[in-house]
Formats: sequence, structure tokens, C-alpha cells
Amino acid sequence: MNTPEWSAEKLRIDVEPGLDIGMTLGYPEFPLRDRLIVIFPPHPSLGGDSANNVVEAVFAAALASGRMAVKLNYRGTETGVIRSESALTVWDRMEAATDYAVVYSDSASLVARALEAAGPVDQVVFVGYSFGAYAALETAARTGVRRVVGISPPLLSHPFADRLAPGLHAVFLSGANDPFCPIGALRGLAGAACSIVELAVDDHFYRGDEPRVARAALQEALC
Amino acid sequence: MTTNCETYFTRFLASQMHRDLLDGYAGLSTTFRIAFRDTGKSWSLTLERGQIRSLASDSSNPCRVVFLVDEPVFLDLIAGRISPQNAFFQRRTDIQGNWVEGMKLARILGLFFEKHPYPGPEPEA
Repeated sequence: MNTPEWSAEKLRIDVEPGLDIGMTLGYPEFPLRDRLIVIFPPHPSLGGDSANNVVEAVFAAALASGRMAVKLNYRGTETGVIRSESALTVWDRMEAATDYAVVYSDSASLVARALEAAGPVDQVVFVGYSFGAYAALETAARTGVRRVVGISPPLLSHPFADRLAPGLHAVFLSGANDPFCPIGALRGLAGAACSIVELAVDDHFYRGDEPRVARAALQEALC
Repeated sequence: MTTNCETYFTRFLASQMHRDLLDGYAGLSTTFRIAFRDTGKSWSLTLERGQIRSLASDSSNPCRVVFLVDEPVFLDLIAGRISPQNAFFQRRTDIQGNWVEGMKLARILGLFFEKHPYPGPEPEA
């Protein structure tokens, strides 16, 4: 049996009294320290957690490239419960109020903890998929991270254009037939504030195309 | 001949009607269908306020979401051997209709299957 060429460590932090969140830090034996890749999953209601197919593919691609990578979780996704309440109910409430501030704050805290564990790196790059693309942008604004790669950003439900701050290098990847990320709206985002990469894929979920989207995202993350 | 899948709907799931599927989902109301690709059979369900209110073997009722699945995969799902999300990501299931609602429903059904795994019909005495 082949021995994996990288190791993984589960890290947890308390984000509020009685509420902790975990993440997975993966690292090759002798990691390149030019980048730390932090991966943001999709919305929990849409199958978003650190076991998501695209998240796993980007994580594996980053480690295969010799870099350290972190898969974040959001509150409640590991246990299905946030305190005594169903996690999906809490997320539905956040969705109804379009207020995910605690999620971005959680993510910023997780990134700080990941950096402590990873040690010095030249640059942190966020890679977010679907809702994770928006969470990555918001968390970048809170952490000073300047490079964000967004896969299939849900342009119809989140104000991406408002979050493309000066000094931020954002790249968005998507296919032409993604109902959550209409290609026309994505092309409309392109310009001085961000660039786009169009992929030949079926829809929003990249089923069977995971290695391809992961390679494309990593290529942008390492630019 | 009655299959395990039919027994699941007619006995097991029927016994869960008019009670909360899960705690904390009283706001859940929708219609969906499980359509078996391999046998051509379908089951339509109506959820109201987090409870199954109707359950029928048919393929004609309009539903907001249709889950397409083969019977062996469905048996793995209801036994909790695979999550609906993973089955979807592996293309072992598909969703038609309202994608967002379908993905949310898949997540909730996954929690239900986890809480109430169905090992198969009890052997007859």
C-alpha cells in the first residue's frame, strides 16, 4: 500500500462560548512555503462542508503541488447542530436575513489559527466554491488576504461586485451552463477588479470534472 | 412481488407520517418525488410543516423536486450507508426541478436516514 505523501491534522477553535469549529490542515513532508491555500466550502444547505467533492479536489491538488492547504468548516456543518438547534435551521435564518457576519468572523478566526499551525508562509490565498467564493471575499476583507480564487460564484444571490476592493486580486472560474452563476453576469464582472476563466463543464456541481476544476483553480492560486 | 423499496414506502415511511421527520424542521413544506430509473416506479410525497402528509405511488403529480435514483442506491441511502450528497456528487442520483430546494431536501433527508436507518424488512415469522 502506498504511504500518503502528506499528512493531515484536525484543528479546532472556540468561536463562542460553547461553540467550536474544526478545520483540516494538510501538509507535505517538506512543504513549499510560497503559498498557504485556504479552501471555503459551499453553503451548508447545498451540501457544503469540507467533504464536498470540489473542496476535496482542490485540497488534494494543493497538497500534490507541494503546498499546505486548509479545508475550513462552517459552524454546525460537522455535527448538524449549533448549540441545541438544528444547524440547517440556523443557516436558513441567516439566509433569510442575508446576514452571514458570524460565518465570516468564524472563518477569519480559523485562518488565524491555521497560520499559527502552519508557520511562516509568503502568501495566503483563498479558494472558495459557490457560497464559499463570497465567504472568501468577505473573509479576505477581514484578514488582509489579497488573492481570492472563486469557483462558480453565486452571482444572483450575493453582491460580488460590491466586494471587489482595490488591491484585491480576484479570479472567478465557472462554466457556461451554471444556473447559479450565469455566464453573462460573470463576464460583466470582469475588468480591472477581477478576471474570469471560463470552463467547459456541465453545471454548478463539477461531478466528474473535479480534477479539472481543481487544477484550474490551483493554477490561478499559484499565479 | 413487493420489493424492499416498496416496503420502505408502504410500511416504514407510512408509519412516520404525521409526525415530525426531525426536530427543528417545522418550517419545511414542499412536494417531491422519488423516481426509480431502473424500475420506472415513482413515489410522490408531500411535506407540510416538517411532516409527511401524503405518500403515493404515482408519477403524475406535479412536484417541486424529483430525485432520480436506482433501487440499489436508494437502499444504500435509506440504510445510511451513503449520504444523499455523496450519492449526488458521485452521479448515483440526480435532481430535477428546483435545484436549490432539492439540495436542501437531500441534506435534510440525509439527516432523517441517519436518524432512522432502514436495515430492510423484518423477516416474517
